[in-house]
Amino acid sequence: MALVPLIVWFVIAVVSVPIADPPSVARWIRGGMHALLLIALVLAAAQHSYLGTRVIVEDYVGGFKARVATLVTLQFMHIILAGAGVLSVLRVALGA
Amino acid sequence: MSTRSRPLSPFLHYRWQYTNTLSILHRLSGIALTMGFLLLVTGLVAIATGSSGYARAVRLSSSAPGKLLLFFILAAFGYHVSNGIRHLAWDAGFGFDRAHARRTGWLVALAALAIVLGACALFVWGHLRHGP
Repeated sequence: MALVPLIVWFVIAVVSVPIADPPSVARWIRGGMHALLLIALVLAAAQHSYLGTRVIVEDYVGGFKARVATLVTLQFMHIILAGAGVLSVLRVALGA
Repeated sequence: MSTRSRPLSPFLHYRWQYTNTLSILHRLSGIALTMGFLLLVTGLVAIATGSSGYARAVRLSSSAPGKLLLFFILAAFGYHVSNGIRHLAWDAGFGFDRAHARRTGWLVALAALAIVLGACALFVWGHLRHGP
């Protein structure tokens, strides 16, 4: 549910920030609350995406081994994606 | 063990109607958005590491297949967000009777269309103002 306001904010950002230019994006991330909101978005989106794809796998992937393998892969994939996203935002925001 | 006597899954013998179409679209668009999330994180990593891949991705996104991919993600986004709000209303206990469900189903389709058309209009407008 937290995704709805975050998505609205993100859409406004994507439209108003020159996203084709990395330095502009980095400058935007460093300004104000943007880094915090972006981290919240990445975490909420990762959680949402994980829960959604998990339900789909549980519904359609038969066979114990295949199911467990897919679920574990999904879980690792989302943890890594969330971690990489948060680390990247922090790195840009803190200028490390 | 014989598989013949087992009951079939509901989706194998239910009539195709708007309810399951919308539900399946929600799942498909969700999967597309997981790919979109992958792209988002890839972009963030590229910006953080100063990789030249970002510029290449921007160039790719202005090619025809790139535009098509972005269009699909945009359409998935428009639909999934609209239908997601419908799901939130359901979670709160509203809109379950048939007339309501049908009306909100159409509303979701219209909202998704509006989001896609709006984004395309913004894109064209940007091109007219700044050039490609």
